[in-house]
Amino acid sequence: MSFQLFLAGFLLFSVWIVALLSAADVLIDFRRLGALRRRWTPLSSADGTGLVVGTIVEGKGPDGVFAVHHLEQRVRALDRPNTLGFWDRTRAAELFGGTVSVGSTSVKVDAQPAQVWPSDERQAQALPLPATQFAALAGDAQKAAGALRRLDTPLKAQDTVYLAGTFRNGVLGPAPDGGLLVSAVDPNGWASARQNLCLGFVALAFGWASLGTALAVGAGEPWGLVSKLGAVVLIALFLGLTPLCVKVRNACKTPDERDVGGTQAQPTGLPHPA
Amino acid sequence: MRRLADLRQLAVVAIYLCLLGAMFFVPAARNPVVLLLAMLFGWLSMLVNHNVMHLALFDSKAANTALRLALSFGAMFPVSSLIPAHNIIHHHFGEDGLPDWADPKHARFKWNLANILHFPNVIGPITFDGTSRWGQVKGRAPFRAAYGMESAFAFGLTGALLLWDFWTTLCFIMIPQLFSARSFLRINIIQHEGTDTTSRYNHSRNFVGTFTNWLWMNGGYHTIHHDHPTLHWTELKAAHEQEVAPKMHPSLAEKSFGWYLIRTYLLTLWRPAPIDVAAAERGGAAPQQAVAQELHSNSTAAAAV
Repeated sequence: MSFQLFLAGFLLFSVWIVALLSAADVLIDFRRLGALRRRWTPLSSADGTGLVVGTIVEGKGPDGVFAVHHLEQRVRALDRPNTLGFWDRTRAAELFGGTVSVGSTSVKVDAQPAQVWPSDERQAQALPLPATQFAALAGDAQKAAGALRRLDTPLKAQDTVYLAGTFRNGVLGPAPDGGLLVSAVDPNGWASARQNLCLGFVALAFGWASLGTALAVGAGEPWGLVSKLGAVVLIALFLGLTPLCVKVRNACKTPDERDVGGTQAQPTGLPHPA
Repeated sequence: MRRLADLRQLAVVAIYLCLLGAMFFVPAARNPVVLLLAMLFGWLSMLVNHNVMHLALFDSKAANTALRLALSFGAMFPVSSLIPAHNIIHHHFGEDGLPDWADPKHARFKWNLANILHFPNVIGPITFDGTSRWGQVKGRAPFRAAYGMESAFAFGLTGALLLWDFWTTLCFIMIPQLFSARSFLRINIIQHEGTDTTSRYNHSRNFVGTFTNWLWMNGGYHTIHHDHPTLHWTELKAAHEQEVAPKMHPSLAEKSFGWYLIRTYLLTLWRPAPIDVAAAERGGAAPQQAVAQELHSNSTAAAAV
């Protein structure tokens, strides 16, 4: 066996190790999401420990807010004309409480510590700074330290809300393990979609590696054109699969922890910042 | 060149590139000995890369640029990415409240060998994504230009070599390139796993063996490097012995790099539970003193029994 053949075999082995490790990494999220789905069993009525869906009737927070997710972002001027970039920093949540209608009953929710999951759509709507705030931050955003803004994503009256915890006599409290979730998205549907994404990634990793291997070592002249094509497919996997793995990991972060970031061009009608 | 001692750093990079060139152009050089030497010098050139990103080798901007291009080709990535990824984010152990792009916790397997194998697969993309975002900020056009030039050179030259002689490039150029880059990423988990990055003296693991530090140009003294990033590599040993050694937890001074790797990733199956390496520091006693006191109280207790 030539030394070059040995090295080609070593590279093939390395590519498969990368594919296996990336798949195993994503399966960590798959299992975590499965545990999350098992944890919040849907309840037919607001009684016991599990998950219900309802509509917010009243919120006890400022402006009738029921709960809010806060994301602090660093704001910096970008090297594009009058454009700001946002970098995520800390996250927090507040449950002000209120009343939620669940079927024919109503559930009373007191202010207490809770996880608050915002919806992607509403968070995206809240991301652009209003014109006045943009103008106010644009100056500091040019400095080395940048500026800070808080991205608030509230749940208010008339919003659909998913509540997970323990329901007793029409009152929501934490589950026995201390968990309490207020979500604008269906937690089980969200987790199920992310689990499918994980499985899709695993199938892609093995399919990609198998295709490259078949081309590289299958029929055809050794070290020939088909073999080279297979090696190119495997190099692409080596360099391309891991960024995809990280994207899937990020996509599996719960909605309250997900990466938001973003950029914003200056709203029209404002004078350009100095 | 700013310091005569840095001739050694230049020699390391030159030897590495000569070894790559020899394997590419001379069929007789395509053997295990030359390949292993190329991988070793590839790793050493990454230590040079690290050093010159903190402290430029030359007064001449053109010479520094040329060296960065050579280093970028040697590891097939734009080495200017170290400026945000290492000099700024890693040296602060975080990104403005978020984890360091090279935080050991990005690897999350229970099986510890899988952690060190997979670590570059995760932090590589995180670093490139973060670097790309960092480079978009106003006033960083020179960084983007350098990053773009290094990327074009590293990937362009490797691509051209692949077109010229595909299999030789794949086996004898890309293996050392990828080994160098991935070892460089892996050193982050080796130097910081199980340490306390909030601590003054116990945020890093140090490899204090004489041979290791001779070979690595004192790259084993990591705590003092974090504390004084622009201290020249020739001054690290003395500064470590004076400032760090008396105050750090003894478990963070490893004599042998090889034995540490074997012990931690082969002989230990599961990821070790963290120990509180900064406990003595918080208590105000030097760690050696604290360990001695602990031993003394144990022996006193044993004598009493």
